[in-house]
Amino acid sequence: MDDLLKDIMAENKQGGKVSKSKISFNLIIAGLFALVLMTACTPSKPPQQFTLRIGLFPVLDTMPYYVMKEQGFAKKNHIQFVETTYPGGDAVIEAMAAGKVDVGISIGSVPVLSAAERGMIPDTIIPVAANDFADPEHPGMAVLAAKSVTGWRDLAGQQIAVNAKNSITSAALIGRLKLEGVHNYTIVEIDFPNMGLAVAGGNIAAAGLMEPYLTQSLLRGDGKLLGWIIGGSPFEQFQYTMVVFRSEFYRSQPQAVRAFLRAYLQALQWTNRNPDESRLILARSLNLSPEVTRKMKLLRFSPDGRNDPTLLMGMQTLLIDIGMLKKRIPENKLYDETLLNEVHAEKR
Amino acid sequence: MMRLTRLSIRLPLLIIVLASLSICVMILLLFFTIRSTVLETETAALANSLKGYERSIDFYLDEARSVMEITSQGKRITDYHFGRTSVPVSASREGYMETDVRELAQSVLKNSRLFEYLVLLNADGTICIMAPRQLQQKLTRKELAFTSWYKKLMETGQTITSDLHISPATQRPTVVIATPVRSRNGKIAGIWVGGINLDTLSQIGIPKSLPNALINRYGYITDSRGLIIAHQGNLQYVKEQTDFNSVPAIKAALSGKAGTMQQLCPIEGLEELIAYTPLTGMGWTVAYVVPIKVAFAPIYTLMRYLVLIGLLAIIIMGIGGLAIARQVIKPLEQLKNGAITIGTGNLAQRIDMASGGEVSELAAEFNRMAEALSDKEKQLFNYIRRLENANKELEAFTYSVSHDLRAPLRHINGYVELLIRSSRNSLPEKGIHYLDSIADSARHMAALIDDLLQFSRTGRQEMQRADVDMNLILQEVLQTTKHDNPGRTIEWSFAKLPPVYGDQAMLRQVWFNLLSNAVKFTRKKEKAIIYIGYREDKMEYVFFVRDNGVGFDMQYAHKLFGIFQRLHSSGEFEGTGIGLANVRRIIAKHGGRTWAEAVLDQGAVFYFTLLKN
Repeated sequence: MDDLLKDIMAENKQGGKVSKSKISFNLIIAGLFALVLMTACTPSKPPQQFTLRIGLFPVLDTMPYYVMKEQGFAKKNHIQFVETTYPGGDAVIEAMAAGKVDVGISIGSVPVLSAAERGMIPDTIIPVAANDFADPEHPGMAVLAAKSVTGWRDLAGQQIAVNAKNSITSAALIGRLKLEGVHNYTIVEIDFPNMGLAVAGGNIAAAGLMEPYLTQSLLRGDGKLLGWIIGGSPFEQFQYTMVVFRSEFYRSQPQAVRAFLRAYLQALQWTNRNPDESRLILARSLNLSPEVTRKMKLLRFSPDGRNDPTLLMGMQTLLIDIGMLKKRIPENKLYDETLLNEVHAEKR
Repeated sequence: MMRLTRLSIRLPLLIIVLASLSICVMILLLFFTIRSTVLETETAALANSLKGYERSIDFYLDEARSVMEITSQGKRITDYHFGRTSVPVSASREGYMETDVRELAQSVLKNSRLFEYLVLLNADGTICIMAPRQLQQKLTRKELAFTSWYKKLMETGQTITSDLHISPATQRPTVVIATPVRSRNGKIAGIWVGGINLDTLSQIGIPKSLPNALINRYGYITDSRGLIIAHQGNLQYVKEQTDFNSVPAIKAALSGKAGTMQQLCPIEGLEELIAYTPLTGMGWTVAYVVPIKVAFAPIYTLMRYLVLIGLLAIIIMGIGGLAIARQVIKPLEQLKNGAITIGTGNLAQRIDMASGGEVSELAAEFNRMAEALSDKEKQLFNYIRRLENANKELEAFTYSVSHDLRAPLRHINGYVELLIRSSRNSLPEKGIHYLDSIADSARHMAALIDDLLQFSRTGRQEMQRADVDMNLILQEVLQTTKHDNPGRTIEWSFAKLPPVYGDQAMLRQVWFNLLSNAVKFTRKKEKAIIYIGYREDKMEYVFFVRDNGVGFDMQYAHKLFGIFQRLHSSGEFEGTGIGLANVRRIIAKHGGRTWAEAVLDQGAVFYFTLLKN
């Protein structure tokens, strides 16, 4: 019995020694593992952050921008924005020319064509991608008229509001009035949010309105829908807005433009996949009742940011016809999709 | 690995769980109580804030109305209208009068900050003068007779406060106060209109020193359609005439109700506490709001502290629990170790515990029990020793008696045979018969003594334990049995038996005795049926031999396994009555049991058990 006890004690002592050496071995292994892990996790270089001064024209077309922010696509691509709001795309272009803004996400095709005609592309601004399109299924602009107006001809001699004289609204309205044979009207400039009340108060007889303010005014009973003028005559098919960069920024910081385009394409895809959530994001961003954005009509957001050269050429015929444009601008002088192609190539 | 069944783990865990539960319940109760109190306080504060805000707005609008009404009755405005309408005036005179009105307007705009523009209209709504002058140049309309406020003023002849609309001059949202300018005969000669400065209206009630970013409780005003006229928190709502008609509280206020509620604001998407009321006589509504996250911010801060304190308390209680558990468990561990030592047979072990309390008492009882066990063990040991001695003496006696009896018996038998052989012809037949009877009895006695000797040897024989294949020895015994009983019709059947651990020779004897018995007691049957089987219990195998023989009366079953006990006469069935006694002795030496069941003339079953291990 005593021998057995001695054996057990000896074995235990031996076992104790083995345990200590095992612990030391484990500690060394754990230390090495931690060292490897720390080396692996140490960021080699912090990702470059981009700050973009964005000119906003807060309407439906700006939806991908709000999605980009709310869904974190901007953050994911290391972009932060400094926002300034303008009453229209033309005003944003002017701000770019003055060096105050780097990018505009919803610059109307008409201000872009007008800028091209004035020789601003590519020296001052460079459109880099398409944003949204209108067609009869996705109408983009309508005329809201006072309740007393019974038809287009009642607008003769009346005041009609647009957001800016050099704008899509203006072009579409003038085109439609010409088609309807209405003359002697006066165009006044009123911001989109104020147009409905101006119609309701009798300041103006009608206004060219786009979403979501059109639906807001209709729900409020400010007036009635006289007819669609984009997605309807005269512009049944229309490339609505474009993403435009300040040329100097485009040339000096192409990596920032690429980062923006990456985030923008992600936002476009998300918007097209999640229209209902996108409507809610727009309501929150523009301080609107969710009912308004739920009932409004959506434009067709580009799936890949590609411009439609055929459509842009076709639109120009009408714009020349109504005197908004003097001559056709060739496709290669309208936009530059080089960086967009590069970003698409990255995905492949 | 830790075992959760151990008290040393379970006790601290239990203390931690109970402490955590108590703290959680306490925190939750505290949270809901404070929340309810804060809600009540906030609601009351909100109602007061609303009253204050409403009074400020009323005061502001009253002041604006007063300014308009007083200035409309002033000499400069009445002269302007009277002068232009009563007698023809020269252009220079009209110019002087316009300058007077402009000076008045500029003075009002500069000093009151209530208005952003002032307009003097003719009775037909055409614009005479607008200040500041640059706005007049921007006017898109030369007359304002189309406006709803103009129409209402002309209907009522009273000062009117309009709803929100777009100014034809600024093209921005505006609200106007319009008051009639009366001629000397009391007729409306013109209208004096002031466009309320909505930016200033939005600032009403906000301390000038407070930056906008810090405004977390705010009031706002809507017109009779729910469009925002003034907003302390977000001027953008005013600029965009955001429609708050979908806000539940505003809906209620527009229908003439006042009160407070908690709601989800569909415009801002935030949960908020809101107090609301219609603004008397205007058709407008006033609301005062505090977002829930702002109202409950102190609670959330307090909750964070409480949770931290709770966690700290749980940690402290956990450590305390461990200490208590150690204190409780230590004597129990001592007690357990003592019990283990006693359990191993060391009855001299005593548990030394002087700490007092229940565990000490238990230890003392334990020691007493060990003492008593020790005494009993000694007693038992003495009994066993005595019993063993007696048994040995008895066995020695049995053996020597049996052994010693054989020699005289052999002599008796030898002499009887000699006598028969030598005197067969001289002795009468009766004498021969007597001698034969003596010889038979001597042989029978010799058989009995042999059996007794074998029985005695069985008791003293050392066991040679090994794995035993019961099927094998059964087959051997069966062969012998069949050989010994030729001419018998016996239907044998048996189950496949499990192997056991025991003395093979002894177990062979058991099977032999049982099968011989079965064959013997089925002799009277034309066809004997014998079945050998077993069943398995938790600890042991129960083997049995079942026959359809003569059976026995169960009231004598207890005698069956006794030495030289017979339930049938030797004339009917031969034998000494030692076989089953041997079976019992062998099985007992293996740690098993034996018994039998039977029905008279129908058969019997003999059982024996062997431990599995």
